Parts: sequence; structure tokens; C-alpha cells
Amino acid sequence: MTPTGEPSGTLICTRCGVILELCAFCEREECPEAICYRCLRIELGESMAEPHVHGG
Amino acid sequence: MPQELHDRQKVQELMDRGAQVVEVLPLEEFEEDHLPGAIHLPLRKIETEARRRLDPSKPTVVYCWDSA
Amino acid sequence: MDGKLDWLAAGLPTEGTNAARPRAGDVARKDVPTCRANEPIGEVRQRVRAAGWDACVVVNDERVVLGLLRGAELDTEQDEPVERAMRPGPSTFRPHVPIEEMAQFMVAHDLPTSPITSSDGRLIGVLRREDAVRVAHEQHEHDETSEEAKR
Repeated sequence: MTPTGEPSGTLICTRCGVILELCAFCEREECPEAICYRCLRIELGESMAEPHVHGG
Repeated sequence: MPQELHDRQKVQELMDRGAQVVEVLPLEEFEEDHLPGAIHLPLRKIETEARRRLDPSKPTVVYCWDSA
Repeated sequence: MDGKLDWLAAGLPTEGTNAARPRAGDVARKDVPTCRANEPIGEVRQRVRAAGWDACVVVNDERVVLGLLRGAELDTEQDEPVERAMRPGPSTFRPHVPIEEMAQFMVAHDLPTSPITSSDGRLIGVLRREDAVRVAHEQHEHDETSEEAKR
């Protein structure tokens, strides 16, 4: 069991903890730095963690 | 008459024809990257400063981060 | 256009502090071999190896990325069309991503190559890890030299 209660071997995003099938960056099932699509886009500057007040 | 533009080519044509380009994002983001020739006019200051800083006789393109 | 993100993602020029810093699109190799999905893999493998590459990007007539052939996919012994062997819909990255970030990710995830595409999915080039790391290192040294000159 992982600390969050998922069975061992479950891939989770190392930033936000969401469960993954594959790492969004390298597309591997076993990645020690696994990251989800949303967190990846934020870290690469393609999206924002929180939209601006006006939405844009 | 204000209209939404979703075509980069149209934006470039307007820029080539002398349109004013305005970015409304926070200053730090503007300083990192902005469209060529863009001026910075944060959203909260648009009403008070637009008349002073923009030429009403020229087309104006206003942009933010994305279309959300 | 749909905001600054769309402009950046299309690889269009910008001004500002980031504009002079190398990005993924600047460092990506434009000479990466490409092929069509219906080509026989044997012929593609020959062409890719002859060009000195170990990866090939599968594109359509409009250069939109459909898949990737790397390593085991390229070396398959089956004589089949590329679309059966390729890795479909690979993760792609936009040209405006700073090279330091791409280098960090590629090292941390042990990824040898990353396709760089525009916002409409067209291939710009392939970023190789060694190129990303080298340029990121050069940029870091340049930044340190600039900082010292200011003191």
C-alpha cells in the first residue's frame, strides 16, 4: 500500500497525487517522476494553475 | 466595433497595418514575453488609462493569456 | 488567435526577457527523418539509420504528427506498415518551452527525444536530450557570467 492508501504499483502524479495510467511526459507506466497532463502543462508554462480573475 | 479575433493571421495583418497591441496580463508576465510592439495596460487600469495611452483613430488588439 | 499562449505555441516571435533565452523550438532538430503511416517499416528503418538517427516521426501530408518510431518500434522484425509498429499520439511539446525546463524533464524521465509541435500539431522538429542539456548548460554559464559582470 502507498502512504495514500492505493495498492503498491499504482502510479500517481508526484505533484498533485492524482492516479495515472502513464506518466504524461515519458508515457511510461513505471516512472519515479510521474506527472499528470495538467501539472505538466502548468510546469511547462502552457497553462496556469489558477486562471486570471477575468478568466483569460 | 469590438470583435473577437481567433485567427493569428488576421492579428498579424492588423499589426502590419499599424494596430496598437495591448497586453492586459500582470507586469511580470508581460516583461517575460509579449507580442512584438505590445504595450502593457493591466486590466484594472484599462478604464482609467486607455484614453490617455491609446490612439482612438487606430485599430487596437487586446490580448490575454488564452481564450478562457 | 486565442491569446498569448496560442501565439507562443505557434513559435511566433516575441519580445521580453524570455525572448532571448533558448527554447525547445530553437534547439529541436529540424532534420529528423519523417515517414508516412502506410510505408513499410523495413524501408523506413534503412532510411533512418542511413541518416544517422534512431528515431523517426510519422506525419501526414500536412506534417501533423501521428506517431513516433523509436528504439524497439523501429527495430521490429515484422515487415508491416509503420502504423502498426508506431507509438500513436505521442506526448509532444510546444516550441516556446524554455530549454532548461525541457532538459530537466528529459533527464529526470530518461527520455532521449521529444517531438516539438506547433499548437495545431504540426512537426517543428525533434529535441534530443543531449542537445537540450548542452544548451541549458551553456545558458546557465552565460547567466552566471552576466551576474558576475554586474557585481
